[in-house]
Amino acid sequence: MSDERGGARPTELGGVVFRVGDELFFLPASIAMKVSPVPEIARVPGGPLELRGVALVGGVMIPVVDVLEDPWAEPGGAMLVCAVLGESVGLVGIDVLATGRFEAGDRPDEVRFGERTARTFDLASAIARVREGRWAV
Amino acid sequence: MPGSGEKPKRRLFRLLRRGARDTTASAGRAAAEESALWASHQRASSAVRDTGEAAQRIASHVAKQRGVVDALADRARGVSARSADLSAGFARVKETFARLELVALNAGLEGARFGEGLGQALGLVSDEIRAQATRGSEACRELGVALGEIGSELSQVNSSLDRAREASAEVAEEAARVAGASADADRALSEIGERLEKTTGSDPATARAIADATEHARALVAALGALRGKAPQTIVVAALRPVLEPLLSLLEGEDEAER
Repeated sequence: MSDERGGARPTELGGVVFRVGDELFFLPASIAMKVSPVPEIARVPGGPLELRGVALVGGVMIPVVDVLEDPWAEPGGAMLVCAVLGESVGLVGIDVLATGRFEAGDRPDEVRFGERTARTFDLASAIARVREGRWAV
Repeated sequence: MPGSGEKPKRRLFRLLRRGARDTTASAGRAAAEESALWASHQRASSAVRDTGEAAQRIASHVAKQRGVVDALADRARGVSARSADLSAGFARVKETFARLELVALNAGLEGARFGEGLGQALGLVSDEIRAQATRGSEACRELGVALGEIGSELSQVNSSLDRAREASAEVAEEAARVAGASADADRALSEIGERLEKTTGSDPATARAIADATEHARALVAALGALRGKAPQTIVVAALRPVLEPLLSLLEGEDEAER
């Protein structure tokens, strides 16, 4: 097993592979905390489209980000709870395909999933879009 | 008794000649027509009675059939309700498999954090549980679809049974109408019979007896015709004498009554 903390590129990466539309994405196990059923989500009045709302997960109220950015679509499947800078955020609008260790891809931000590759999901950008999105209030 | 001293043959000829001169000469034809009329009346009465009885039998069978159709419809509704219960049950099982799949995904995620060794083992168990949960979920989905199809078929069966029930009700109505019409026809035929009896002075039994007598007379004439030229007339007359005497007496008796 390669050392992920060392300078050499690891041969395997642990985490979760999910699909958004037709694209495959990967999030490492250090960010992806758990997969849960989509909970009751309370909409935030005036919030941007990317913010689906807030939900109570494990006794903690967390923001839920819709990566599909479709306010009318019902978020089916599962919610991926991620940890970002000590805070939790839920991702919906995704289809979780697999968890575990995946072979690293040709590029540093990719893993192999079957015959396809999944690039690392840019969670920071998704959160930034929520922050920078158009709030009505 | 007039002409009791005459020879039977002459007496018979005399009677027949008078019969031919009689103003009721067409009575023979009329008697035949009357007989045919009564026979037709009898046939019509019999047919009408048969029709009425058949209509009652049809109504009885239709009532039984409606009972069977009602029982079938009840059963189909019961099966349909059971099918709906099963669908709900399968939906719950499918949801359970979906939760199990999430548990397996989380176990895989934990395994990814542990690294090799324990993590790999956890990952393998997670993959296996997830595969089985997926298979179970898929099987539930297929069963749900099959149950949905059965439910759809059952609703079609129900609507077919409803149509059969409506058709049975229509047949029962028609049978009742036929029974009523044949009862009317029977009454009308009875009335016709009564009027015919008053008009002609005869009745079905008499008409039948006359028809029978006519038939026998025709047969006698045919038999005598066949004997012509084969046997001497004296032998034939001698052979017929025991029959002719009572026949003449009968005919003369009626002749007297007519006078």
